[in-house]
Amino acid sequence: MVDLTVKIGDIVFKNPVLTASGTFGYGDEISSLIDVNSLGGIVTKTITFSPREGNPPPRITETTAGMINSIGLANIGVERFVKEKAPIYKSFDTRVIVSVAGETIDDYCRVVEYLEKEISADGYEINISCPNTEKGGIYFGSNREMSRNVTKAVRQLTSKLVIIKLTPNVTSISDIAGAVADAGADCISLVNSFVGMAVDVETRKPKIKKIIGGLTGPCIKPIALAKVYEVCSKVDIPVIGIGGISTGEDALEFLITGACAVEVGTATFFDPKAPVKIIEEIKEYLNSNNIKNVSEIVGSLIQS
Amino acid sequence: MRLYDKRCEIKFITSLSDDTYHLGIVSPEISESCIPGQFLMVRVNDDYEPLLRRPFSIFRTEPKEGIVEIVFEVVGKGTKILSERRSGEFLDVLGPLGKEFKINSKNLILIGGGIGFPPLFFMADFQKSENRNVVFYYGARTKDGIFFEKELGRICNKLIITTEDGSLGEKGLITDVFIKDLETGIIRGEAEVFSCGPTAMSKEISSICKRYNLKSQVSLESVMACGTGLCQGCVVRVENAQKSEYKLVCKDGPVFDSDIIIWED
Ligand SMILES: Cc1cc2nc3c(=O)[nH]c(=O)nc-3n(C[C@H](O)[C@H](O)[C@H](O)COP(=O)(O)OP(=O)(O)OC[C@H]3O[C@@H](n4cnc5c(N)ncnc54)[C@H](O)[C@@H]3O)c2cc1C
Ligand SMILES: Cc1cc2nc3c(=O)[nH]c(=O)nc-3n(C[C@H](O)[C@H](O)[C@H](O)COP(=O)(O)O)c2cc1C
Ligand code: FES
Repeated sequence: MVDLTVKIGDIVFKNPVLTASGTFGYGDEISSLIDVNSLGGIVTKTITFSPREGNPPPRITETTAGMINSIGLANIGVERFVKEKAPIYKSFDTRVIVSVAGETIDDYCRVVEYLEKEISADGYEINISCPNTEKGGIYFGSNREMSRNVTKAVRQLTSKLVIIKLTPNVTSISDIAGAVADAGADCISLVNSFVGMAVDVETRKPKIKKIIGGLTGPCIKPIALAKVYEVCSKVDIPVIGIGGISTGEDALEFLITGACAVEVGTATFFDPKAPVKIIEEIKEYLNSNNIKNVSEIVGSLIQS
Repeated sequence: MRLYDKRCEIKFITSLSDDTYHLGIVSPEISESCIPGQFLMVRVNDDYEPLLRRPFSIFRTEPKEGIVEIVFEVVGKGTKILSERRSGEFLDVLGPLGKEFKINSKNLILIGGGIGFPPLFFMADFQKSENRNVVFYYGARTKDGIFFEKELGRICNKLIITTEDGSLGEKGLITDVFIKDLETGIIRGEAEVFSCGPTAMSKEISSICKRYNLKSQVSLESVMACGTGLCQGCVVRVENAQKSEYKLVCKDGPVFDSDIIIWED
């Protein structure tokens, strides 16, 4: 038997595979297709204090081995989330991380405070990296000071796991990573989507209404991996790798590079069973390489 | 309703015209449980090109043989690849998805424009043994875009075919012929309209129905990434009881009461 468990902060995950925010809804949408309890954890759709209806359509378009989205953090708001969705998690035997965003630091804090009072999530993923909102989101994540300040503010509100999710759309991601690690984050997750654009040459219109959106899927994997490498070389806190992960081999690349866990996003759209298959494939790899514990491969990259 | 995500064998794939194909897959679970208006998400190959599954309305089922059928038109790379798949091969198929057409009346008017006809065919076929009066308007550009007219003629009380060039049935746009029939009083009594077709047609049918006080449901299209409510990518604006909001075409639809749709230009 291989040991797939990973520990981040005080939280033990039964395996290193989570679902990425915004790609697995609130966790109850496809529970008839995959057993959520087999996952290491789920990260919810990003929750904001007030409900957001999101951006006008078209919101998505396919690109070569990827897709661009401009959902705009459409979500039901923290109050409805607590009432309608959180009760479902009581029956889940997996870790639930609530993704949180806001337009100001106060906004982030209000959501976390509300959740701290009302529910018992295993932790928070602070989304300072959404490219699809006018305010907040990526503007926090691309500024060292703001990233530090929002991390500090949230840290003071909770003793639960605080994961800061970074945007790759910056000059130096390791710089930002260093700042949030210093400010008390337990963990860093990366990457959120890359800014991207596509044009319909027949109509000469952008293929999504907001013109620029977030590029995700297999096409971003090598760039995301390089970002994870950069951040792992810089900070000592655990890192969760995200970006185009669609197979066990993809996930293993991130683990070997230094991520202690991964999140699966776009792959779940074209293959709802992808997260579960990835867990199985990691297990097979460990078995066939006689590795007893998944932590043995984390950061095992040979750089000679 | 349960959702299935299975690797299904292609039972047959036949071309109906230069660019239209009829595909049957083996899926006893979906075949048994799906209802008209619902759709499938089909992964056309195991590659990342194209990346996403493609949505197709269910056209017919043969529950005894466990078969589910779709009819599709080649419009881009995904449908091109699908048209080149062969019987005996396997496809990942997710379904049945979405909300169905809801029948509340004895008189049904089904309006299918172009490749929008499959879900309405399913509806006509599905309820053929019920004692309802079914009138089917089926429009296309030319006669080469009209399929299964013999079968439709059998399962409907009345089939009205329209082509823009007049090569089959009445000449003109399906919407014009429909209005003419409403004006001349051929359609009488309480009837419900169900439509599926290009957005311009659906929009026009919806406004005609409003004008003539006919209840109508429409099956909408949208680009979709997941088909299951995960991505929030497939929204349409609706206005219901003064409340304006986005709904998901994949989960809240694809069938909607047409009077709540806010049609974007
Ligand atoms: C609920 C639903 C049911 C459908 N049922 C059927 C059906 O029964 N038969 C059928 O032939 N088609 C159906 N469609 C449309 C079908 O999904 C698209 O034609 C297909 O996804 C195009 O894929 P492609 O890779 O060939 O085209 P792409 O290369 O992706 O695009 C080619 C062109 O088609 C347009 N297009 C792409 N996706 C869609 C879409 N979802 N709707 C409208 N236009 C699109 C693009 O804008 C582009 O102009 C349905 C769509 C939905 C949402
Ligand atoms: C449709 C869509 C919606 C997303 N919504 C969110 C979100 O609400 N919050 C967030 O932090 N990330 C969101 N993301 C980003 C993903 O969580 C992930 O970081 C990104 O997609 C890269 O991973 P992938 O290539 O595996 O998809 C979204 C991505 C997609 C495709
Ligand atoms: S297609 Fe993803 S939510 Fe509708």
